[in-house]
Amino acid sequence: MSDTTAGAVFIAVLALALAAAYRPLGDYMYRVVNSTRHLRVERVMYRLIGVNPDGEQSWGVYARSVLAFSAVSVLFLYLFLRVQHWLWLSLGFPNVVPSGAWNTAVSFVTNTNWQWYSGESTMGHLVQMAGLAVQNFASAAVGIAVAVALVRGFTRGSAKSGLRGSAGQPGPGADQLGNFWVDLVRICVRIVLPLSVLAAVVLVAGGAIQNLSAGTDVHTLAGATQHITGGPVASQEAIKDLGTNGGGFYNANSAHPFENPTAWTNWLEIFLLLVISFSLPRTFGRLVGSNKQGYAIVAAMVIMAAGSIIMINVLQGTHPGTVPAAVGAATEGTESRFGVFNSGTFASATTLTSTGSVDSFHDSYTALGGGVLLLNMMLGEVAPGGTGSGLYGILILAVLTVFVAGLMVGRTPEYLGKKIGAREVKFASLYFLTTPTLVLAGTAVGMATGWGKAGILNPGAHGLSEVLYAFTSAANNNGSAFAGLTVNTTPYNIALGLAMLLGRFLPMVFALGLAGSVAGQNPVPESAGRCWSASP
Amino acid sequence: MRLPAWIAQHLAALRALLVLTVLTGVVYPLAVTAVAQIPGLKYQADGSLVKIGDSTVASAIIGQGFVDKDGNPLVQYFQIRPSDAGTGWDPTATGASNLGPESVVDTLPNPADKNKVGRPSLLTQVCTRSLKVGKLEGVDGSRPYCTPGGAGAVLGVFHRDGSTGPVTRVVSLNEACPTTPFLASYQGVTVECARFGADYTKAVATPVRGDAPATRRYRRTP
Amino acid sequence: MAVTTVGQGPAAAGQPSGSGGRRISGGLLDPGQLWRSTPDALRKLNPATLWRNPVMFIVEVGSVCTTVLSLVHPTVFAWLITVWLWLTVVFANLAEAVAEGRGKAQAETLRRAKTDTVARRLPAWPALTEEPVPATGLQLGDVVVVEAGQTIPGDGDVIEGIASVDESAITGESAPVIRESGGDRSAVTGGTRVLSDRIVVRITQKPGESFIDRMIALVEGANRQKTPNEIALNILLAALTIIFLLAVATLQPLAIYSKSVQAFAPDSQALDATGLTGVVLVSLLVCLIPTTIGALLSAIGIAGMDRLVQRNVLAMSGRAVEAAGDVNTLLLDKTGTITLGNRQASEFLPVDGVAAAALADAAQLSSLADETPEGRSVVVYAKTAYGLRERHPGELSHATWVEFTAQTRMSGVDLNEVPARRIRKGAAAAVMKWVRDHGGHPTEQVGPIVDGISASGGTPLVVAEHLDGAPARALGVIHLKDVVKQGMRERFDEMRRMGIRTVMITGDNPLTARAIAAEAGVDDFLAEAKPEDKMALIKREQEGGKLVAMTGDGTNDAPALAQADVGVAMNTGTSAAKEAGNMVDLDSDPTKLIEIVEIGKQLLITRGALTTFSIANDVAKYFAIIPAIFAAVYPGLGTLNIMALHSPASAILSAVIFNALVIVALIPLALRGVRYTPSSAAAMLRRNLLVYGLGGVIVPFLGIKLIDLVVQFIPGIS
Repeated sequence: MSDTTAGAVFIAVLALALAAAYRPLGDYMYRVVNSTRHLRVERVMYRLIGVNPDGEQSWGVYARSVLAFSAVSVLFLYLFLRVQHWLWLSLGFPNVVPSGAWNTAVSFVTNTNWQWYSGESTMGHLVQMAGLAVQNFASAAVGIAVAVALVRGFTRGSAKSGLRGSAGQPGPGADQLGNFWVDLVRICVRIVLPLSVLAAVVLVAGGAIQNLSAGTDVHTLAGATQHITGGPVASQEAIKDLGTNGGGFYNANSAHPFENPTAWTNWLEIFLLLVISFSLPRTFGRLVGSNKQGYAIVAAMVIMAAGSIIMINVLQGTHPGTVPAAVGAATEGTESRFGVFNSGTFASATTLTSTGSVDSFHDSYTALGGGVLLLNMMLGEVAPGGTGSGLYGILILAVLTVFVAGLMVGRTPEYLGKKIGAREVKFASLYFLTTPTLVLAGTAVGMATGWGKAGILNPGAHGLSEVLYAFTSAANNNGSAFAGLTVNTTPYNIALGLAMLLGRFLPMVFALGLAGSVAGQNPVPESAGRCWSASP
Repeated sequence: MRLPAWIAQHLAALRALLVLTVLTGVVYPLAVTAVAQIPGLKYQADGSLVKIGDSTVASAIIGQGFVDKDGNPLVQYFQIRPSDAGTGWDPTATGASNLGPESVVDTLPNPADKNKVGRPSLLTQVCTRSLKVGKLEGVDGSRPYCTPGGAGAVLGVFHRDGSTGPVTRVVSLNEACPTTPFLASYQGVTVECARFGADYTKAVATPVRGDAPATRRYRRTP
Repeated sequence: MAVTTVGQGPAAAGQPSGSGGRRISGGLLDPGQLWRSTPDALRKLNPATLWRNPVMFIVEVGSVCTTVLSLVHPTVFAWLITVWLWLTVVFANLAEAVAEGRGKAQAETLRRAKTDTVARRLPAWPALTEEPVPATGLQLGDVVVVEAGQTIPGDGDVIEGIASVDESAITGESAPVIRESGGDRSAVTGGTRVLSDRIVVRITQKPGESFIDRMIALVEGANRQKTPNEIALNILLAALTIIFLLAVATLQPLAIYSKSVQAFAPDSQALDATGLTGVVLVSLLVCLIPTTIGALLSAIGIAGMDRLVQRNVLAMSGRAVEAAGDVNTLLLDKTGTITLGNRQASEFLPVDGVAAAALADAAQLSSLADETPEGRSVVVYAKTAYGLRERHPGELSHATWVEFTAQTRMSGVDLNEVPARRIRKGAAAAVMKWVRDHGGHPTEQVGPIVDGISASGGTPLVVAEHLDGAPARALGVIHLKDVVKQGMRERFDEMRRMGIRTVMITGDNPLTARAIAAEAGVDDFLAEAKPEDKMALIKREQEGGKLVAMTGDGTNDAPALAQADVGVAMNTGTSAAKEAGNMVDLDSDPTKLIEIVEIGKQLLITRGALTTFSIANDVAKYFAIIPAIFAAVYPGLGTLNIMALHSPASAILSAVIFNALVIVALIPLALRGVRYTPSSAAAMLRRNLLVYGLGGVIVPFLGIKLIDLVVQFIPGIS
């Protein structure tokens, strides 16, 4: 089998597996977020947190809860990193410097997982598993929660008391979007945690390590000493992919044999990082009571994703450029365990979602191939995007598309039975203004200042792409890097931290604002004159 | 005493974080570690370590260098791919070169400072390695865009009008003087060797294909 | 001009079936109008007014910048760009000025109606002591008297008397109308003239808020408020503008960096070591922000209102016009809207043994004395279907005419022939009783025929004859029928395709209503409707989130008009109705509701289409400008220059010129509105995406290339 055929089979099997997971996982997630029952462990957790799980929140309260939780998380993680040296399992690594700790704390809380550091030489085991990995869970759950809250906004209205009423529960108030704490706990406990346990064990079987050892010194056949590292890698790797986080245990990320040992674990990791985001449209369809809506959204995602994956594979396969011509393939930066095509597919998947973990190094991609990755992120990571963030991103994109399309058929535009008026367009516009503003402002500052240009590795336009990529990745909460850029400097750590923070929470607040705005509306009945945009 | 709402909210947030930290940051990894201790998983979970007698010599899935202290290949072993992890195969400093497809111009070493080796471009690295492997295995190590000396074959071409117009001066950018350039002349202009510290920014970097056979990733045996 | 366009309204509305006549279109744009509006356009350059349009305000700020830059470093290129940037702003203002200009002409005619009149106030009504007051001094509730030849001083209701009034000043319709106290024709409008008799009017307006004042304000667009969708679109455009502003600002450090690392590249007119020149940055910005829609947006809104005014409909708010486009349910009164005003004879059904012609003859004779519309229609039908010449009562001297009265419910004639012949025609029950009273008994046949006609929604009239010496006998039945206006079914089908449900409101019994509803093709009907029922129906529909439109004229319609999302009051109606509705139809034509819906939709479609066009335009501009700026630095970008534009300077200039000219080219479209054919949303979206989306991508490629072919010959642009 030629490696082109192998690459095609790899993608085809991946697509089939995702298609197979769409309904069961989407339906399951629907039942989780729409359920009225609390598990016993959840009741205990609610008691410990001190919230009433049956209370509903308006958009403002929901947003404040998200922000409060995230603020506390950033602070907690920052302190954790600053004192890691004095805690157990630090492996003797020093406390993380302030700017670095700030950057990493923000990075993991925002689901970005941008890494200025090398995991194996900076972070102890405790901070990896009880600090960073916790945020892998939490940030993924927060993303899904916000997406679900946005969808609830569309399903609720003051005329009818929403779809939840059908479950026999007294219908929630008109503009209530659910309860953040309940969503957070449930998504963690019932969705990401069980899947992670499963995935982690499978990864261990494939060769990923899972221990608390400080590592083993081995004496190589050539007579040198090699330090084989240890750590709870598989457990972190599972949620890193599943929660579209991307922060690897090691600097080499998913190119490291302990994180991603073989070709089939590579396939599994791509599957894991796509599966929740691709299944959420099903959950959305169920929530709004029309699976067709879910199919429309997922179809839009698939078209964009397929285009991107095909482009990157073609570009990497034909490998234009001087060095690839000399080498005979675009192999620089890729692992030969995976090969050019499967690496390209991973790269595309990781930038189409907000994952940002890598199994090959994007800086060494062909010029246009790297451009595709950049474009993936600039599109706002909506195909399928990060867990939750992809869904709310594409829904807001749908709102704007429907707005212009609705005007074209001569009606006040509606989406899912809610009118898209000035207030909704304002929130949606603000949502889409945020990231470009951060990317452009960040890049402009980076290119105009000495510290910005100092970190550039590659010559010419490529160097410019490194800076643009860094800010695009940060503001879109991706976390992958054109790693040639030296970002471990105080200004870069601060600037990229800000980009990540604003790029995560401003859009979230705008999405929740939109949800609050549409939740207060009466639903408009469906009629033939209405516009259903099947693909944005 | 009732707390103000915003403090109460942050306290709830803190409690939520602590609860999740215990669940996902302690219970979860320890549980997975416990599961990983069962036979069939333990070997992998511990790092797939390979032992000869009592001595642990490697992890089965981590590369190591089969070279002597000076970096010369130990010919009795199969030579594995080059590594960018630290000084080579160092699991405590994993990473990649991050050099792009148009990384073709070297930063030349300072002849006055013997410790500084300069920074070879990706193209030159490829050319050098290819030449070395060719020599070691007794095969042709030549490649397109490589000089016979194992550097990137890249000319800095000065045009009269910047990027266009007749050629006024040509420098072989990766061949530091006193190396004789791989080409004697380019479009009728004599090719110079490159000098450390000279300003070649106004030259258009032009890779030269040369006549080495095209490299295919999988060369089929005849 | 205004008067003639106003006059067109009823003509257009009067032929709902004609396919060409009812296509929505405005007057064609007259080039002279562009010229006449230029001073207004220049006046609008004032930043204090322009800032309300953020997109064009940015362009103006950019123009000022390039002007300064051109003064500092004068080059042909810089000056040409500057001139065209200013023209872009002027063209945008021109679009708005032209749209307003059309209304201004109309306002002029209205102002003429608003001459200073002196009112004869009756301060102690019902005492008849008069005092002269200037019309502008009239207060709400004042009572005035107006006599033949005088102008009515203000809006009000007639509380005493009846008069014919010339309302041509506001409606353009020269035929006088009757206004009388009580009932639904009591409203009079200030500025109209009493032609005969004398009326006492109670003023219902506050000073300065008369109908004419509001009309003038409306057609001039003076206090035009942005409609909800327009505001939303403005926000979107502002957001796009900000993104492009940032993108262009970011380009500068990128350009400087690029230039420094590709130092071999020669300086160009666009880019040197200090970065992109200000002129180029501004040009790039102006080309990328959505100037086309930004320039035309307010003109589209004004023109939309204007199109309504041209159809003699006054919308009291822009919101109402937009709501009209969104209407889900149309409530239409049966009489006058769906059917012609009255029932008409449509068939003669003789019983056995009677020839159809004999029945027709008897029917005609018995109806000659019946002056009701139904009676007239029998005579007309006998003539058209049976060729019976109409005989006048005087012709038959030996005849005694029995006129129709509400008591007898019969009309007829007694002919002194030998033997004496008496014919009667009327309501089935009344005539059958007459037959029995004169010794006859109705044949078995009449009953079933009568029932059949009733069941089909028609009204049966029985014709009977009594010859002296013989028992009376029934000759047959006349089928009176509600005649549905021509072309209504097609219109309702269109409505259905547009997703609008039509509901017929009628006082008829359900049986009749059902039959007419089926014939007309409406979706639903409300029979035996009382005003409360109408109100209840509206509320029920609205609870389901639907928007409801209706027409009405009576005072008892007022609550429903106020409740409906689009309430069109007839100008002939009461003041209460006119106050309650959010639109007034000066022609008092209930079918116009359908056109109002179409105009509302057209307004939205025009906005959407031009927005799409404007955004799609950007694609070509990237291909023109990006290679122009960067090709020198990154020669690989030269391949993007697929239009093979002559030089960087000519490429940028061409893009800027295209950007300005496309505004002018689209002014007629903005004023006229995008062509609207009722069809399903999907089909309409497909068509508009194709035309304005794909068209928006292709047109600028051609346009920029053509302009480039010309500008490359300008010295200094090479």
